[in-house]
Amino acid sequence: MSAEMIRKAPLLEVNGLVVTTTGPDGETVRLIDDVSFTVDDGEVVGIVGESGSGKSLTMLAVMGLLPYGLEVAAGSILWRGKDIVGLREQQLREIRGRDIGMIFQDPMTALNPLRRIGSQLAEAIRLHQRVPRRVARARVHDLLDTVGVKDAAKRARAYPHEWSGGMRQRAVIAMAMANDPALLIADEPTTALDVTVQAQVMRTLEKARAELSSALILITHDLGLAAQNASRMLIMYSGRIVESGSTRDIFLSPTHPYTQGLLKSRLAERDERAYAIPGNPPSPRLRPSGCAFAPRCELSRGRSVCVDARPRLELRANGSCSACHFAQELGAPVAPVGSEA
Amino acid sequence: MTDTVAMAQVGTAAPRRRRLSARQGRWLSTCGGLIVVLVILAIIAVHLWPGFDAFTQDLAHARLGPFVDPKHPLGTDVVGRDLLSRVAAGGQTTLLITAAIVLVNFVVGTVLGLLAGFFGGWADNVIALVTDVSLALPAVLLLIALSAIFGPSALLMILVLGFTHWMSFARLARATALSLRSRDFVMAPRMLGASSARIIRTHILPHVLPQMFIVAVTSIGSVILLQAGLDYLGLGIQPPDPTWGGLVLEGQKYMRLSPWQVILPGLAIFLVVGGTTFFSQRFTAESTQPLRKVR
Amino acid sequence: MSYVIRRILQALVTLFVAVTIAFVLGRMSGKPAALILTEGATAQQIDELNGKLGFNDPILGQYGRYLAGLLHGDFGVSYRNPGQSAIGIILERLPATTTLALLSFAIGLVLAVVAAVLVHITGSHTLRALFVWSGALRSSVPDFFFGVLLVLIFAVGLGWLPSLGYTGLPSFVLPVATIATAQFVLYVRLLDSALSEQTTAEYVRTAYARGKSHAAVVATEMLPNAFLPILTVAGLNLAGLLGGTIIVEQVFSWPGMGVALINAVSQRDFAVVQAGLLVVVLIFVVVNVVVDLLYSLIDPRVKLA
Repeated sequence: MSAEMIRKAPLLEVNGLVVTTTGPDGETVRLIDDVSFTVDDGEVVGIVGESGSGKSLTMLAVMGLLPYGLEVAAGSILWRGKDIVGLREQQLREIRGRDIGMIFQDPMTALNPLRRIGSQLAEAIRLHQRVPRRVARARVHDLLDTVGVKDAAKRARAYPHEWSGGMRQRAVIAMAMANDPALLIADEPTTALDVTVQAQVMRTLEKARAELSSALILITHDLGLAAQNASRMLIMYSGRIVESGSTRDIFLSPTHPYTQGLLKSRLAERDERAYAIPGNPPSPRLRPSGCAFAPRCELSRGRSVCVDARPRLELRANGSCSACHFAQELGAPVAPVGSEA
Repeated sequence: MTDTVAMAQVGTAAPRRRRLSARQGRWLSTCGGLIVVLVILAIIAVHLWPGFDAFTQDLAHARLGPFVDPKHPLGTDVVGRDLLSRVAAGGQTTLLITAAIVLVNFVVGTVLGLLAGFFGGWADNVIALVTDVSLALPAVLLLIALSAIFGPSALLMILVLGFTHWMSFARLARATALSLRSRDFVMAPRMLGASSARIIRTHILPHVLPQMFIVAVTSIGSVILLQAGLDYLGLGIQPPDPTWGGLVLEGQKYMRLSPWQVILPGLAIFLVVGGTTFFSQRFTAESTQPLRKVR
Repeated sequence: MSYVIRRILQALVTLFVAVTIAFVLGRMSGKPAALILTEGATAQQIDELNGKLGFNDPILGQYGRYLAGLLHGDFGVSYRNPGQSAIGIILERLPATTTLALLSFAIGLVLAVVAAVLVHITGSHTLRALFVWSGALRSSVPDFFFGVLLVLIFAVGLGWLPSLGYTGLPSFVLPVATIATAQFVLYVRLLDSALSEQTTAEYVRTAYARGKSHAAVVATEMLPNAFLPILTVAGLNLAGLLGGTIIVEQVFSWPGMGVALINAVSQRDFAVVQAGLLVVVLIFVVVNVVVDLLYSLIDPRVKLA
């Protein structure tokens, strides 16, 4: 057997994940509807979708941090081969912060306003490593240095409201890095920040990832952001994955009409035209029984198979997977090579 | 994150919850109301029934417990007076005074609130100032001071306590007046030259009244407690007129000899205050987040 | 610094208004000579005494003398007992009232914090319901009756505790229990609600994400944030409490300011009533200012400047 044939087990493997909640009439509502994907060591994967697509919830499910009233109804989440769904809180706590570091969206509220920044970061370390305060503090200064905070020793004594949004996000990144996690999850890390600061923060994030050689899952609604940073992408719609593949393949030859629509609107934005996919995503309670995207799909044109049968993810000619009955009818590539650089 | 929260809100009800269902809450509220009505009916019945006398002393039958003597269903006090009659008489006084106090609060609050909301501008500002001062002024202390000057009396108590709860009425009246004053059915008579007073009376007041009722009921418990406390201190109605608070004060002296004398009036207060509280809970929406259980 | 000064100025203005109101009320109560002299005194004798005491002078003059006297700590002499200074009567009763108030406040608050935190750590709806229901019941019982009931059960019935007076530690138990339970009910509801509000905060999620346990998150992350708005309410409450233990003092014959005030009222001794009210208002204002300043010390987002 050659070396290439021995594949290492994926770092994170999600299989058939279903997350449900109970609707006002007592009915079961599927917020995440059968999602599967893997992440390998050191990979950068982008998860792209609109608000309500379920991209954030998927990650919360992985961390065991689903909000009250939501639960994992089916599927498995394998961390290094071990299923962590249904693990006791104590065991999940070891994974959180140590094996997986999470970066949330809003830096303004992500830190406790009554505690010093340094203290919160130090706690992230001491929750998982038995080190004296002195050592933890030194490590915090190192971490802050790494994320580009100058004068770390002095500035760590500040309270969160004394730091700017961009700097606070870097502190959050430093916190996620604190215990050398194997996986970083960044949920819309730059959405709440100024445009000028966004690029800085993404650079910091990439630097952190590189230093740790960790994998990164980048959750965003911004296709371009994902493309710039991720080598592989998953497109989510209404709690389902509709397309997955390498960034290049997805941009050059999308195999799902939703992806195509996203690309079109992105291009239109650049050219200062207006294009939006007509309609709105369905509310999880009213998700169509067939293809969730069918009501808005130009490709479908109301064909009955789209309404009746839910499309499964299928491998396409270019290596991507997509869930569409008529993927083969998708036309010419939307964007020429190199236009997304 | 925000869309995640939004998605989570898709499911609001949670099955297998041992929380009070809406039906149970309604049942409880009705129970409360029923208890209050029963107490009031009992008071009226005793008042009308001949043979129930709150003042006649009868040392031969003193210190009887409840349910012992059919002529004295709730027993007698240390000098033989019938407790049922005394508590009922006390209830009559206490509840009538309470009604008077709530009425004063209602009138003051509604008038001020309507004025503030309808006219706005400086009227609103002045009334806001009055509200702040009212909130800062402790009613008990004021009553003590005034009692020292004028001597304690029922009228004094009604007037002073009439200014302790008017704010809730005013807030509601103001909000309603504010929202209605630019509506067509109010603008039209205005343009026809109707006076403001008439407009407020005929068009705005009817909208406000139903909710005022709820505010009034909600305030009853608090007013009774305040009033009974002042009666207990000797600052309100003076003996020999019985009031619930006064009866507790009197009964405390003979607590060891005749405990029912002090327990029954207190119990009466508890039943009425508790009853109105539970009854009005139905109308005040207040829900806290469900709790997160950790495995 | 200017915030501090502003607060102190505000307090002084409030005090000034209270003092003036007390003066006006005092003068409304009439001139004291008729109370001081025995029955059968002639109108002329009464008028003479009033003149000597300065009550026949023009009103502004009286006001000026009154203010000057206050600044020297002179609150006048008791109408009934001209030998004693009005403020003296009040002040000798102060310690009894303040110990009762502070102890009850502290116990009620601390227990409420423990209870609310416990509810949120365990996530037990049953526990929460227990506190809500017992709270509703306790709130429906007037403080004086609750005190009387405690005396009936524990002093008269069981004989475990004294029923009145200020005689040492056991005598504190029932009065403190009466007030502390009411305080507990109030704070537990507020804290439970405040903690619930914090549950969905971002920083809480961040704390979980770095591996913190639920209990630690409730106690060390949510609680401080939840407590801040409660602080203002607690301060107002304490201020009111220090002046308002009147009813409980009456129940237990507790030798505090409240009892002195009530006696003065029934004796129409307005000088003492006036002194007592002013002390209460003073305490109220001072405590409020202290709480405000405390708030700015605790919350790093509030700057003093």
